Amino acid sequence: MLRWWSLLLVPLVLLTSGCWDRIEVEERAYVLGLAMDLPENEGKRKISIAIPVVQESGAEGSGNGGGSVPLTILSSTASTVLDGLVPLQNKLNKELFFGHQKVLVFSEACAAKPIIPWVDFFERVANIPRSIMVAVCQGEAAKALETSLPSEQLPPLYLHQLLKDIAQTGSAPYRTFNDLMVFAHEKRPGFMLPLIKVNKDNIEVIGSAVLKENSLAGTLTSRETRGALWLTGEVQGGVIDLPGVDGQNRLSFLIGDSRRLIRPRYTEKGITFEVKLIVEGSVEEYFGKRNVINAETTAQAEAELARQIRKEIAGTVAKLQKEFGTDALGLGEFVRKRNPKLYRQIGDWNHYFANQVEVKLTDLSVQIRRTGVLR
Amino acid sequence: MQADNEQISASQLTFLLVNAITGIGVLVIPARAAKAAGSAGWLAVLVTGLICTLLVWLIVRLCRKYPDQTIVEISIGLLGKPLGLFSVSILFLLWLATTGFILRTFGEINRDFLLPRTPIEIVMVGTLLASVYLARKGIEPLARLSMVAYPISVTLGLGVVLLSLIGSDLTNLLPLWGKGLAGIGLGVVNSLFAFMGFEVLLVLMPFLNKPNVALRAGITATLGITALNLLLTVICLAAFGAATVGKMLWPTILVVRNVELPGFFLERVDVFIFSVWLIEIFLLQSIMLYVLSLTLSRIFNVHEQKIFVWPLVPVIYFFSLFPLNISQLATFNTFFSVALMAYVFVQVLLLSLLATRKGGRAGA
Amino acid sequence: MVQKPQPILKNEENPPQLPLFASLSENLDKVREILGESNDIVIREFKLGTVGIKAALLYVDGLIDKALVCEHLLSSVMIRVRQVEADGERELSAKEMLTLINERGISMLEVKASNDFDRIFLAALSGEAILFLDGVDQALVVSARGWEHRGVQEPETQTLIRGPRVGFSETLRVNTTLIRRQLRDPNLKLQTIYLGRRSKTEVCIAFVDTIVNPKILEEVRKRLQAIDVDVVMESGYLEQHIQDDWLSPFPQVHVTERPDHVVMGLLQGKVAILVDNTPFALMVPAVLKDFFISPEDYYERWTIGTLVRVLRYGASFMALILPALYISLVSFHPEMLPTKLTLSLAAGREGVPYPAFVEALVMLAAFELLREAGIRLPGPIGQTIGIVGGLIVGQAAVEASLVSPLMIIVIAFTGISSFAIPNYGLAIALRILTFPLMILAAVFGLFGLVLGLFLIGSHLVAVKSFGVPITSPFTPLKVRELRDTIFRHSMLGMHWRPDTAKPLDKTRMQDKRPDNELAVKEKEASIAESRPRGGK
Repeated sequence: MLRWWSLLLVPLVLLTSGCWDRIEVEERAYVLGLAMDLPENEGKRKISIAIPVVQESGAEGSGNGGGSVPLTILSSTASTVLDGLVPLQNKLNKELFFGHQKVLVFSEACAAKPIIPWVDFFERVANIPRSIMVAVCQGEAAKALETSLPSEQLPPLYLHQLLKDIAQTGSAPYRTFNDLMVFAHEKRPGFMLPLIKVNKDNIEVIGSAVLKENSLAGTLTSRETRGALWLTGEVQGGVIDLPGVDGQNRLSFLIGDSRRLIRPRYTEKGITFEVKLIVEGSVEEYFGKRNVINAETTAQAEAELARQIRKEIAGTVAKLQKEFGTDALGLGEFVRKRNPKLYRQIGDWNHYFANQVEVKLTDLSVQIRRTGVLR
Repeated sequence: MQADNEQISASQLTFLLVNAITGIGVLVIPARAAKAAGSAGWLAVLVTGLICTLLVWLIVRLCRKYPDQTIVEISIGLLGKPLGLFSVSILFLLWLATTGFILRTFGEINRDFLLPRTPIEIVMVGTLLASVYLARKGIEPLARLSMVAYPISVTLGLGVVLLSLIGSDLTNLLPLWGKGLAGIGLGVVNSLFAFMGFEVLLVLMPFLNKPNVALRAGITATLGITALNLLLTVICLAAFGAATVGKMLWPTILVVRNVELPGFFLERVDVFIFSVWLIEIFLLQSIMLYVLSLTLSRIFNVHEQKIFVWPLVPVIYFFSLFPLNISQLATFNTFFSVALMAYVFVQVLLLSLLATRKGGRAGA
Repeated sequence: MVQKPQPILKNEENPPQLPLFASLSENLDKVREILGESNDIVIREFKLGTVGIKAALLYVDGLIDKALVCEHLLSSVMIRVRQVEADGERELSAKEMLTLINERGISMLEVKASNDFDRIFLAALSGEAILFLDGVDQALVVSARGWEHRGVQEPETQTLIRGPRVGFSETLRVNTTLIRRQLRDPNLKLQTIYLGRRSKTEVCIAFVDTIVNPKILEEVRKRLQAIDVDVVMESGYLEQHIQDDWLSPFPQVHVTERPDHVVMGLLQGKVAILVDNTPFALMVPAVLKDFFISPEDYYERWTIGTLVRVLRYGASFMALILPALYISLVSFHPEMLPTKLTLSLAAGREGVPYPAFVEALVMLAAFELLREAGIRLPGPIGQTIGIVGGLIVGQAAVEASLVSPLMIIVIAFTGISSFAIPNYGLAIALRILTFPLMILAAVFGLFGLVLGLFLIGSHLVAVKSFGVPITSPFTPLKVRELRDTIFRHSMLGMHWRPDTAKPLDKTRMQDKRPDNELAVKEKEASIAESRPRGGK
């Protein structure tokens, strides 16, 4: 008799001993962004997290309230990320929660030292999304977490969206944390991360940071970055400006899409990568008086655009080869996938790239498809 | 309540088998294959699938000769009572161990993705208890639920996973041979974990309403699983590249994490998909509980199968507590899955040879 | 010694339990002894024929149609006997008189003979008039039913936009009539049995002979006849006795107030059980998909039918899991919600002292309370309470920071979804199951929710209704029938009957439309003919 009824106590036990994982939504401290800076002790890092301060809203559900939401930035310095979170949690009445983290920012100084070991935490912890955006910041990275346009509410969300829409201007690569980790695990020779600069009232994307095997090799301006992005096929927006003759027929070309095809050619001296690039776009601004669309001007403009693009690409490749000695273009991957034996033989790809690789633009065609709603 | 007629159709059998195989394996196979074989992981998966299809054919060939008997009766009939019982007991123990380890693996995944703080024991016990209910009901309800649960889980899961192809790079599947033939071989061994389960056909054959369709059902099941695993491996490789995938423990869930459904009311789909997958896990446990209790009932020559379900629960739980940590668990998983497959292969082959020698039916 | 008299007229039953006497006074004494004290039991004694053979009419006041009995029984008998005697110029013996009366004397429709008191009492209490004759040990049972009953109205629980506004009433005969009106198939059989030791309620089993599967019919009969209770008040009593699994929260018998619903079921090979004194009829076997169907789906075009059905399936799912889903997302897995929503949710809950589970439980309980209260209160007050209560209580609770605004929306949706389910039994089942799911979700989050769903699924899959698994045709899979479950296939595709009741006659439709082009041409031709002058 007694036994039968006591079975019913079991569910009660479950409820009273505590629902271990029940943490109410307002009892969590949502880390929206994390930044890493280099302190004096170069073995450690300064970790800063951005947590929104949630205020009680009235019955209307005004939600985040008008204007910017107060944000708290907490920092601590430690030898590992996890270790650094302890003093932070010690200051919070809510439990740290990384499930909504949006951005991960490294300072330039921080990136100059090997960053790969420091990102292990974000990959290992189960809850952190791999789609968080990664960027390198000029100056202090923690500032990037708290700066945003006055009209925007949460700075990390602002930064996140900024980095997501980066493809629009073609000035910097679109890089998620997943991309970073793939680069790390595959031990790829080079990698580009977007470079941002913190101004008083906004954050500006100014180019990219080139990583060589783990740490910073150098930075590229947005133009130079585009030069590289042509070769990786990531340009889907941006403007090419043609000064025209005597600055009279100035023409602004809006890039629509670009496609590239790379073929490696193996020679005794090294590898020549033959690149075929097709760029499409439209003319969105024209200072001249004549119509843009006649065949002559179009062909001229296209040729001029092609020249510009060649210049960009050549400039970037030279810089990458001579100054940085890093293949951030993914060319090494080509060889590794199609010719793994050769790749293994070569060994140090970056060195090879700097000396024995030639990037030749064999086929470049620029096509002006449209001219807006005017002739 | 008196049990049903205990008859299942071919398609029901297919789904049962598929559900007995699908469970945890699907979540880990890209990692196991990629770690061993590199970018040729998908090849390893394909080969494993073909091997298992072959095994299924062997099994059906044997069992078709004895349409109303499970492996228990067949073994006893062909090997004599002591030897037959012994050989079946080994099979039983292997099943028991693997079920326990799968339960533990599931508990670990759960701890990472759904319930970080809940003691793993509670999760495992909860899973077992949920499965007990269905396992006691007999094979027809099991088959029916399999037919409903699987399409829903797989459609949702696969649909979302396929979306992750959008941002991914299929060239990650190159180089074609990955780490070479040795790697592929090792990949096959590691991938077996994701394919085991179809050997429950050994005890389920008598329930078929038409014994001739067993082959079709079995092969459909293994080919279907092969296709699924292949697809998942390809997608994971494309999304992450072999090196990254090899490092992950649960690549399938992580690949879903990359997917962002615009405008969907849920932001992080991986938790949602994993929850849907939970049903598969429960179903797998129910099927294994049923198979185990059925085997026991046949060994002890008792008609009722459901009384053996409850006693099995603590035993399985004991097995699930056995591995000390996750790496030991992975080793156990690989070892026992290979052992199970090998043992099934040897047993079925041996029995087939004996059967052809004895010629025709051997009564139980 | 009273000789055992030979039966003059054919009886219905065989050995009588309590045989009549030949003497009228003994019969009437027996009647008074058993039926006695009530003053609505009337015995009208009179004499017939020139000899003045004593006769008596037994009836229950209120159950008979008095005009009918006076006109066609009493006066008809009295006059006729006189006439015959006058014509034949002799006196009739009692036996002859009985024969005469039965064959020529009564101008009533249903007349039977009986020599069993049990049968006679049952008849009298059912509204039949009993004619006793002195000297014969048989009595005539004349059907003269007529009592106060509610007319045929639209059923309150199952209203439609389009379709007959007809619902069953509390009188069995009215109900069977409504069915007959829609189904003029001679194969439609209605068989009556009496259930309940004291209530002796008339229960009618209806089926279509060439369609229904005899095994199912047999099972129905077996189960009904196994019922041995004092009283059968309502069809619910029967439902609870004949259902397969009494522990299951899910209904296994289809209950409906609409005759067209019953007719559709009959045509699928189901057996309908109509019970006197209640407008709710039962239909077996019943499967889950039946609970989502309303006959209206078929009266409108298939797009509408499909849309509405999909909506219902969605609604039932929502009604079941929405509160539990809310709890698990808010308390366990906020990473699943979009960031902005999470933050505004956190803001909304900032002042709320209780965990989401308690919030949900309290609001859901309040909602159920309001619902019940709304049913009990009469007419307009009831409806107002629902609206006012919901609005005000919800609003006030939010302002008092007892619940968060999103919770109100969740509860509202849950409630509304449960109203969208056509079958009350299913709706209740889902409402009940919401609570354990919430508890599981409160302890284990999504894991608990899925565990609960799995358990419900396991349970559903094992429940049978008269041998048919309740989850067919989803599983066991019958692809042909899937056309008519979540979707409603166009009328022209519904060739075969659903296999649920394993009907004998599988086809139900033939598409005899002519080719479309041909039809158009014919129409044009006929139009041209009817307008000899042509032109606009």
